[in-house]
Amino acid sequence: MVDKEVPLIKAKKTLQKDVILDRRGFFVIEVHEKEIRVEYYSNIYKDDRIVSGNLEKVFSGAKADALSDTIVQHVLDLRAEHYTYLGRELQKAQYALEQNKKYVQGGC
Amino acid sequence: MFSFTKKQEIFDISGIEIGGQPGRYPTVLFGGVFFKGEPDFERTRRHLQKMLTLSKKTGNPVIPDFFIRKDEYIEEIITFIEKTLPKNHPFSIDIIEPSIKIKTLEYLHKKNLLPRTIYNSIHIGITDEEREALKKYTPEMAIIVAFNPKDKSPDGKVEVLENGAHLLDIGLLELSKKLGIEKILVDTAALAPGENSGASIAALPVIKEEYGLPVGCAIHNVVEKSKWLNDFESARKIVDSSSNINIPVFGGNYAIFGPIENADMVLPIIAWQDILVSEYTENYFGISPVEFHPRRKLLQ
Amino acid sequence: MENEYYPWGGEFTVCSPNGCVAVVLLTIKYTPPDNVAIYGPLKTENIGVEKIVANVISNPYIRYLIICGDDIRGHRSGTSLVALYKNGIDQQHKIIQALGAIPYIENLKEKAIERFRNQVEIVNLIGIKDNDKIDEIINEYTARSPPCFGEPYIAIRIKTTANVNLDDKRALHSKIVVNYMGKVKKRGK
Repeated sequence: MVDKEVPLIKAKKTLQKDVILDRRGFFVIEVHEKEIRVEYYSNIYKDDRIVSGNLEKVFSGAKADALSDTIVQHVLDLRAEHYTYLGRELQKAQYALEQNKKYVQGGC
Repeated sequence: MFSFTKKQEIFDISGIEIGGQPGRYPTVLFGGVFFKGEPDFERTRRHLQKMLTLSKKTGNPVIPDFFIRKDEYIEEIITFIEKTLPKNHPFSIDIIEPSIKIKTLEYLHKKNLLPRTIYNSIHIGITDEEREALKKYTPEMAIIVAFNPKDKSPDGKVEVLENGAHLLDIGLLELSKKLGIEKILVDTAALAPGENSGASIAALPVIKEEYGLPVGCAIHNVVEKSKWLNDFESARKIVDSSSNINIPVFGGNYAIFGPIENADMVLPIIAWQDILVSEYTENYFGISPVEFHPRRKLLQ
Repeated sequence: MENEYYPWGGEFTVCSPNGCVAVVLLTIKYTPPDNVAIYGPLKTENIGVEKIVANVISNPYIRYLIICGDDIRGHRSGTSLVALYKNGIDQQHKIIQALGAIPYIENLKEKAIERFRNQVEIVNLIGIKDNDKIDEIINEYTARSPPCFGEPYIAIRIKTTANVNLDDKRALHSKIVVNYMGKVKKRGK
């Protein structure tokens, strides 16, 4: 007799082909000498395709947590997966900055 | 004109009390001597006399702040302190070079002057040798400078007091406790124009509410570095002296007002400001000033 | 005026402020000599190209843009940049005769692109990876000592803004609340 049953869910990365791009825009993350820069672009569509972006805001910082919190305050209504993607990438960028290694922005 | 919810500490240094809610105690004034060239003892003795006389008149306690720039001055300055200051009157020693700090502490201990000493200052540049010396030759009171070069806002100042802000292994407040110094004055680090000098004033009520400790700063430093005042030479002394009113208005307890020569202006200006603050805080918050407060001494 | 140079971000290394040569690195292992003005990699045919244009026109001393290395697969960013220089953009903001997937220029005005096309001459070394050869060509163009093109053209300015955003406009600082009488309390209590 079991009091409670809870599902154990195995983690699985969404396949590239199934990823839904965020209609609210995209980010470009760059690691410079002493800081991390995050550019937020709103999407530009031509014939229903995203062809580029309009540079809306630029964020600057050295820590993933500070950048994450600030971006959440300044860029609203993104898809949930987009915020978690940013969290992962910013942490990678922070390590790259601290260890003086190259940072290459990952795909979603 | 503020009243703080947090309980406020009042520290006694050899008869002078510093701290508390605005309006209770008069602002304590530190006048600096010997910061340029050879110490001129005769001149300083006269200025010291003047400052002490003014202090009796207005009620604002004064503390001479002795710069010690070179090893060879230590003995003569301390002898001067022993001979010239009134009996048991406190004083502060203002030294930049750590090795001179250490030698001075040792000498003060020898002369049994540590119970009257305010150590100016403890900050993120403190060396290990300095820490050891302070443990052995502990001054009665110390000024902690909440200077955070990475964040000059009040947040940065609180950080460096609280946890060292990644510039020091522990927070400056904890460090003082470890060194055995209980009586702490927080200096909110006013440095130069363009370095967010307004933050050193805004930080006064923030730190008083956060920690309840006596606060103040040397806003005079900002005036001294304001090169544009060279165009207004005749107004310089007034600007310098009156810049200090920012401190009592924002709840501060002491001001390091710069050269002792300015005491003739600083004392009356600060006494006037203290009276203004006291009238308000007694009226709205019921804070009664002590009997030697300017409001009691100067108003009939 | 030097601190106005290269207003848009990107991955690049700044060398000599009065250098007349800028180097764009496609797929190549090469570090240009430090008498060039600036050098860096190019990845995308849209924003990557735009950043190069905006940064180059901010420094009027740059008169030659050398593109070297193998072109980026799929993006064809190198040839897109050359096409922009040769042909400009169409009504849809698409680079004319660029082979990349999405070679659209959306953040720069026509004027900026014109300025780019007039200010620099592109030296097309796409496909060339020989470090010594590129060094030689850089030195040759540097020796030409062309005049400065004029004033910096600033297409984008990234301005710092105050970060604190409090709804209590009478606050002295985010850690405390001061009521109308002057009573101070910790914020959040």
